[in-house]
Amino acid sequence: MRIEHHRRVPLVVLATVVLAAGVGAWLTSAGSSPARVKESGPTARKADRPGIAVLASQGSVARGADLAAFVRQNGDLGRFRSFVARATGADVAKVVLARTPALRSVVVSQGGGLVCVRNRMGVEGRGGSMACAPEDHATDPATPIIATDQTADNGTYVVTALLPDDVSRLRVYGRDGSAVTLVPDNNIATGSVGEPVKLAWDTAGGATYTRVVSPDPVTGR
Amino acid sequence: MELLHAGVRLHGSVLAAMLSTVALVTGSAWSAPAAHAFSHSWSCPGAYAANQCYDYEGQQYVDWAQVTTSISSSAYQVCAKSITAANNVRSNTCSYNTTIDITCYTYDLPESWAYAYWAGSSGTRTINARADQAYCD
Repeated sequence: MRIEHHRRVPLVVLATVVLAAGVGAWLTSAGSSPARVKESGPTARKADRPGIAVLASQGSVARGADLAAFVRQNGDLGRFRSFVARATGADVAKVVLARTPALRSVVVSQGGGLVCVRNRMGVEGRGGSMACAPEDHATDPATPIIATDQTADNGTYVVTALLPDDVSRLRVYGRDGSAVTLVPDNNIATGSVGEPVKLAWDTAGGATYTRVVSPDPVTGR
Repeated sequence: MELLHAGVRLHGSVLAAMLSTVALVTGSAWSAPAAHAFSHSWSCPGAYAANQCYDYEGQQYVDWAQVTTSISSSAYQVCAKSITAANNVRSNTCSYNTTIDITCYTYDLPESWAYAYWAGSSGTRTINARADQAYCD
């Protein structure tokens, strides 16, 4: 009987703890409900965010673009996947040929939480550049992937940007005072420019983001 | 029979030796590009914006075919470059709103010294960089 009594005491304590925890959780939930409502705004916007349509497509999406031709020109896709995996440490889940203006190809890959944009200017994949960002950054209109690289040493620059659906245009300001406006096609904006010193992009919602290019700490420009 | 057997054995061992030699020659020839494709990695932990992250540890001037910069968290500007002894920056490549920037050179490969940096905000980042004699695929 005494033993049973001792057993009952822990059971009562346990039940009390469980009850208290349940009530606490309910109170916490109730107390945080206004915050949840507040959080649902950005969360909903993120879910509703159009993102990058080109990433939802498969294979080649631009007019005249031919993934098979791209593969013939630039080597097999397996090698490209290996290159991305080696460079980023991420497995490539998807590769999309987004645009082939003239001899220039732009390849967008997605996988391992990263989105990469590869601008190939030469043959066999040589030349150009590749830039990668986390998916949530790449799809955010405030932080689109923009890459600039020179076509040759001391030559002109090529801009390659993967712009989210909400970004309507990208402006590149050159050191010589020039300004080039690039309009995305299949989320890709490309163009030749002078040495870029400032970048600006506009969203369909009316927001404008401006970034000044930082000088090279080695050359000072 | 014994001699014939030995002869067969001898013939087999010669054949094996020939095959080994062929395999060795073929293998070394096949692996020659890999041996040529030297790469070197370096790191700059706690790098502030616009800190120069040079490859001080490795051989400095090499005919690099690609330079990769990877930073610990996304930054406004990430750059992967190399500079020749004559102070010419090769293919002045930077990317924006990224964590990884790769510059891929073409056929002309003068020897250059690879470096990396990031810019655009406060705080520090760890820069992991790599230069490679292999071309981008």
